[in-house]
Amino acid sequence: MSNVQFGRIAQADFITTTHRISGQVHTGPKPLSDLLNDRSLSYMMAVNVYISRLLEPGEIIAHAPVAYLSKENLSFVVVQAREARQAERTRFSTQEYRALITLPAFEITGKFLGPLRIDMQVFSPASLDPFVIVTEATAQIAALPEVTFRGEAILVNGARLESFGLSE
Amino acid sequence: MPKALIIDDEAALTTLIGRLLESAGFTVEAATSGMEGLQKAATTRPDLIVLDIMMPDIDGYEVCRRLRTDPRTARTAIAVLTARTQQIDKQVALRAGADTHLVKPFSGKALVQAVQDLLTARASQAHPLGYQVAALRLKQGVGTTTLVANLALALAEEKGQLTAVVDLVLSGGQVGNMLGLQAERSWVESWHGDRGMDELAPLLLRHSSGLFTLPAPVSPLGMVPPEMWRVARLLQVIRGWSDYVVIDTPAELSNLAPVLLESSSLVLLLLSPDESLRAVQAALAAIKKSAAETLQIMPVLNGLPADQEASRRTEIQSREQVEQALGMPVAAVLPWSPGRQPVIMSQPQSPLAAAIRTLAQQVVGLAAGSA
Repeated sequence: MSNVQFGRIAQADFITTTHRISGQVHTGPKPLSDLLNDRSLSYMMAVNVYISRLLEPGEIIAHAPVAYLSKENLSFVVVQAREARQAERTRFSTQEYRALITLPAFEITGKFLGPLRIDMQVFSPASLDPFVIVTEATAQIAALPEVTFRGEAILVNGARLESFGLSE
Repeated sequence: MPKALIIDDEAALTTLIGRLLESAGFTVEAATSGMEGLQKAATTRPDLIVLDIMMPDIDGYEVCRRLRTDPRTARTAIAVLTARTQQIDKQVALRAGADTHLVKPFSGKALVQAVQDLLTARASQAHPLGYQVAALRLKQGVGTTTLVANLALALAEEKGQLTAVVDLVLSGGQVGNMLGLQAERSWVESWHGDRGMDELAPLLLRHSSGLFTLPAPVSPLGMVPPEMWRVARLLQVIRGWSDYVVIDTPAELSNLAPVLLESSSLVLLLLSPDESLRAVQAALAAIKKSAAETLQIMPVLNGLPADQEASRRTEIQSREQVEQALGMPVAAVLPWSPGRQPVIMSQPQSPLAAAIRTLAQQVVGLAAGSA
């Protein structure tokens, strides 16, 4: 890209219920999770965007130099190692739990870092950031379970949760 | 010094990878788009291509597919280097023809090691001359073209193997027609043999199955027959590039016979039930006399009499009868099948397709044994 931008560039896969959108986001000095969790922004700009249909997630069907992503329509975002580490550091977390999450069209498993003790009677995913971080995560397409997305971290859109299961 | 071509739309990254590879002893060319990469690959003939996937003009998968369909680059080592890191991305890259799938971000040391490992693996599997199969017949109309087209298609199904079919029936050969391919130019007029595969590549037509085809001239009218040294050189160049070469031949071999018998590893002698076994025995003796000792000969029976009534009109009545008369096993008995389409593709479950696949497996086994 010709525009010079300072700061970090996060490469990520943005997954919706119909598409896989691979692109780069200029995140400034912050991790991508901060941008996703910024409640004052409903859209996010990505560059070098390559689009695949979810039913053929390996095939690229279109390219756009710049695209705006509607955060509320993202199901989850798959990020790389550095981004995942950065995201984890921003959280207060002391205990690792196994997480099983379902969203429309997807199942996600991985590790969730939370407070030392979670009382499931009072715990609510609504109390978490808009995008929940699941590390060492695997997402499956419910209709195509042989297709998986793996990432050091997957940032799950809490507004699209169907179920959020935790176990120690 | 190995040559590398880097195809990546990010110029800064191309420069970085170029420096890494240069420091590892490569000479490096770079292209910043898929189209430029395809052009440079065809002209510079690199040993290694480092290929990005996400590029705006044509994506890396498509570049990879096109590289594999061009005989000049069909064997080049291709390392995909991409930020698309999922298992499905690796599957698509390998399906498109890449040899390895490397992910971004990467460490320079790991990248250099990976491409060196790839080239070392390639070198250890140095490509031997392709296994050449000539289909011979004693008379017209016994179904040689059907056998040749279908056998070549069956061999082209072998994963990772390049198969070429050559139609040496220069006056009216039908292999191209049967495969639905038509040459604009004929190798007889356009290929002079001095620039090898570079000159031949544009004349090889690629069938959708992956089979490379050198059809006979569209019109034999006015054609000056090629000198035999050119035919020999043609087969040598194609063998040097492919894993299998299947050749359709005219019934009247005349001076083509020594070229075919010296260069082929296997002769399939196609017989119809109304063939004279005495004539076949004489032809076999003549072939054995002028062929190298290593040449293998296998009769193939194209059909057997359907019933007793039909068998009264033909000399050949059973497989065993032929085997006894010729003193060698019959490689296959091909059942009759209607239509002009290659059955390997149009009727893959038919008895003829099954018989040809079995024959192809015998060829694969013989080729492996001869390597």
